[in-house]
Amino acid sequence: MKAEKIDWSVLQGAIISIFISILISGTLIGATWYYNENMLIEHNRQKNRFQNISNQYLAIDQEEKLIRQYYPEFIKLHDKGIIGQERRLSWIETLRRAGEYMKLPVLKYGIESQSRFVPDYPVNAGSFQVYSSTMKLNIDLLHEGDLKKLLDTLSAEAPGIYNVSKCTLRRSGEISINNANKGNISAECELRWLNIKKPNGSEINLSS
Amino acid sequence: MISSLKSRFDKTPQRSIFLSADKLEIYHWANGKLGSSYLFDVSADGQKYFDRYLKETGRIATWFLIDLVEEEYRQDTIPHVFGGDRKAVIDRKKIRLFRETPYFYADLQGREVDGRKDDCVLFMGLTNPDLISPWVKLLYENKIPLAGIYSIPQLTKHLIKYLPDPADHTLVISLQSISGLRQTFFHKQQLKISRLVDMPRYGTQPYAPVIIEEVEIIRRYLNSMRLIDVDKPLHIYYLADPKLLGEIRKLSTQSPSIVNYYLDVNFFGEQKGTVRGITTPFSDQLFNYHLLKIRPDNYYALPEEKRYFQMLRASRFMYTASVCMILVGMIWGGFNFLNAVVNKKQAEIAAKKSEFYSERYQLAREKLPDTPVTPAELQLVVNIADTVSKHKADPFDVLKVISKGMDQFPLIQIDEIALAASADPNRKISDVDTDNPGQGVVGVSNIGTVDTGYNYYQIAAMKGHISPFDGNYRAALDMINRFSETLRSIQSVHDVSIVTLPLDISSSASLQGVSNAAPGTANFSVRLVLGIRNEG
Repeated sequence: MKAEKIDWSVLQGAIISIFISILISGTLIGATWYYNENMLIEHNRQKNRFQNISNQYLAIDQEEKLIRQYYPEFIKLHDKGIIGQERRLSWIETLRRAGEYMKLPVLKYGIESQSRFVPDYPVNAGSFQVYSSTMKLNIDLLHEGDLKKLLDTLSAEAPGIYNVSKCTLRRSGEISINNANKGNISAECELRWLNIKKPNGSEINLSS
Repeated sequence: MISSLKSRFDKTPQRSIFLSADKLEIYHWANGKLGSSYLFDVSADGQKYFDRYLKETGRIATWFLIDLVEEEYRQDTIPHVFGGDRKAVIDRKKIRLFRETPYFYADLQGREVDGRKDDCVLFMGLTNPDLISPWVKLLYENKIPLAGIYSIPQLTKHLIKYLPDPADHTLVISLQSISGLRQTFFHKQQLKISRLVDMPRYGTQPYAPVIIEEVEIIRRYLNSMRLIDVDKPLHIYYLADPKLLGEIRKLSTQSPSIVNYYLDVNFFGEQKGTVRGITTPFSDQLFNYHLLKIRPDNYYALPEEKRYFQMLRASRFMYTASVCMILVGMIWGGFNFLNAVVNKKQAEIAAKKSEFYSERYQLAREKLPDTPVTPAELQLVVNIADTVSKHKADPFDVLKVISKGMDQFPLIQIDEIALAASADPNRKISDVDTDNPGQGVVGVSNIGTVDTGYNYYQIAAMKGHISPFDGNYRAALDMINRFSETLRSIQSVHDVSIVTLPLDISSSASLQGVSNAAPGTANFSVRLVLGIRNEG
C-alpha cells in the first residue's frame, strides 16, 4: 500500500502503541543490561580483590622471609646511593682526600648528568631501570700504581658501585724521580657510577 | 499457521453483511459464534439507517455476502500463460464480458484435455454494480475494514467438501430468506452455474412444489447445455428444515440419473459447530456463519475498497508486535535482572571474603617492617645490585700481565696504554683497534665469546717502541713476536693480537728506504684481552 493511501488516523493508535512498546521494552532491556553490567563489573572487581588479598595473605610468610633476607641489604644499597639519591658529594670529597693524600700533581674531575645505562651483560632488572653517571678523571701520575691506588680508595670510601669504563695511560716524556709536582704518566679515565631507579625514572626512597 | 491465526481471531468482533435485491442483513460475530443481527431495507432510508448503524458500531472487520440475480457466469478458455501475461488476458476478457462492472472474478478451473490445453476459466461478475456500490461506499466513508465481497455460489463452493457422497455432478439447493431459492451446480467440485429464483413470502404458499419445479427447470437446462454426462448421476442436495425436506421428498421423483439428498440446514452447523440452532428452512445464518468462520479470500471487492481492512491488519500486526516486544523486553529484562541479582550477590560474598582476608593480612603485615617496595621487588633490586657488582670491572689486572711480560724484554718501551673492562672481548677502546692491521702480520682477532667461562674481560690496547733500536728489523719483529707469545702464555690471557709492526713487509704494501741511513724507530701496537672470572 502506498504511503499516500494510508489513513494515519486509523493507524495512529497502533503506531503509538508500537513506539511505546519499543520505549518500554528498550528501557527494560537497557536499564537491566546496564544494571547487570555494573553488577558484573563489581563482581569481577570484588573477585579480583579477593584473589589478590587471598594470594597476599597466603604469601605473607614468603614476604616475611624475603624482607628478613633482603631488606637489610636494600637499606645498605640505599645508604650507598645505589638506590635513592646518588652520593656525588661524597665521591668528590673522597677524590679530593685521595688526591691530597697521594700528592697527585693534577687531578681533574667532571661528572655528567645521569642517563639510562644498558649493560653489555645480562641483568634481570624486572620493571626497574639501571642508570649511570659518567665521571671523567684527568690525572697526572708519578707511576701507574697511583691510578690503581686512587681507584681502590674510591671503591673503599666512596659510596656506590662504579665500573671503569675506559682508561688511557700515556707516558709524559722523560721520567722524573725527584720532582713531585710533575707527573710521568697522564691518565684519562671514565667511571660509570650505577644507580637503580623505578620504571618511570624516579628514585627509590626508603620513605616512599 | 493460517488456521491457528484464524481460530485466534474467532474471538475478535467481526460481522457479515448479507445483501439481496430487497434487504440487507447484518450478523455480528463474537466469541466464535453468531450474535445479534440487524435487517435493513434496500432503500434510501435503509442506507441512512445503515450509515447510522455503522457510526454507532465502530470499525469492525466486515465480510460482505451477496445473493443477487445480477450475478453472471461465463465459461471460457484462455491460453495457458502465467504472471503478467495471464493477467493481461484476463483483463481483456473482463473488458469483453463484463465491461460495465468493476466487480469481476476469474476462477481458474483446470485445463482442457485436448487441443492447446488452454486453461478453463469461469468468469463471474456483478452486472449491476449500483446494487452494491452504495453500501460499499458507506462502508468506505465510515472507514470500515472490508475484508471481501462474496456471493452465495462462491461460498457454497467452500462448503461442498462437507456434503455426503461427493460426485462429479452436484446441485446444491438452498433457500435464503431475503433473496430466494439458490440453485448452484458444480462439476467435479468446480462451480459452473448458479441460478437465483425469487420465492413467495414464506408461509403464503407451499415451497415444495415451487422448489421441485425450479429444480426440474435447471436440470433440463443443464442437460440441454450438456453440462451433465449421461452416464453419471446428478446428486441434488436440498438444504432446508426437516418439515420442508419431508414435503420435498414426497414430491421429488426418483430415477437412476438423479440421487436426492435431504439435508437438515443444521447439518453444516453440526459439522462445523454452529451454536445457534436454525429453525427455519432458510440458510442465511448458515452461510453467514461459515463466511465468518472460514473467511475465504476476497472475490469481488476492489483494492481501494479493502484499503481499511489492510490497515486493520497492519494495525493488528503492530499491536501484536507491540505486545511481543514488551514480552521480549520483560523476558530479556528479567533475565538481565536475575543475572544482575546473582552478580550482586556474588560480589557481596567476594567483598565479605576480601574483608575477612584483608583484616588477617593487615594483622600479619603489621608485624613486618614497612618497605618502600614489595618484598619481591626488594629481592629484585638486591639481585640487580648484586649482578652489577659482580660485573664491577677495573682493568688493572691486565697491567700486571703486561708488566710480567715486559720483565723478559727490557728493550720494549710502552708509550701509551688504553684500558677497559667489558663483557665484550671485541670492544674497541682506542685507535689501536682501528689501526690498519695490514701493517702487521696478525691483525686484530675476532674473539668468540661463547662458553669462554669468563664473567668479563680486561682489554688493553698498547702502543710502544723498541729502544735502543739498531735498525735490525728482523730482530725487532722477532722480539715483538716473542713478546706477544710470552703474553699469550700467561694464564687467563684470552687473546693477544699484534696490530701494527715496525715494518710492513706484506706484499700488498710498498716499501722503501736507504741502506746506509741512521736507524729509524721500531714502533708497534698490541691488543691484549684478559679473561676474568668472579670468585663465588
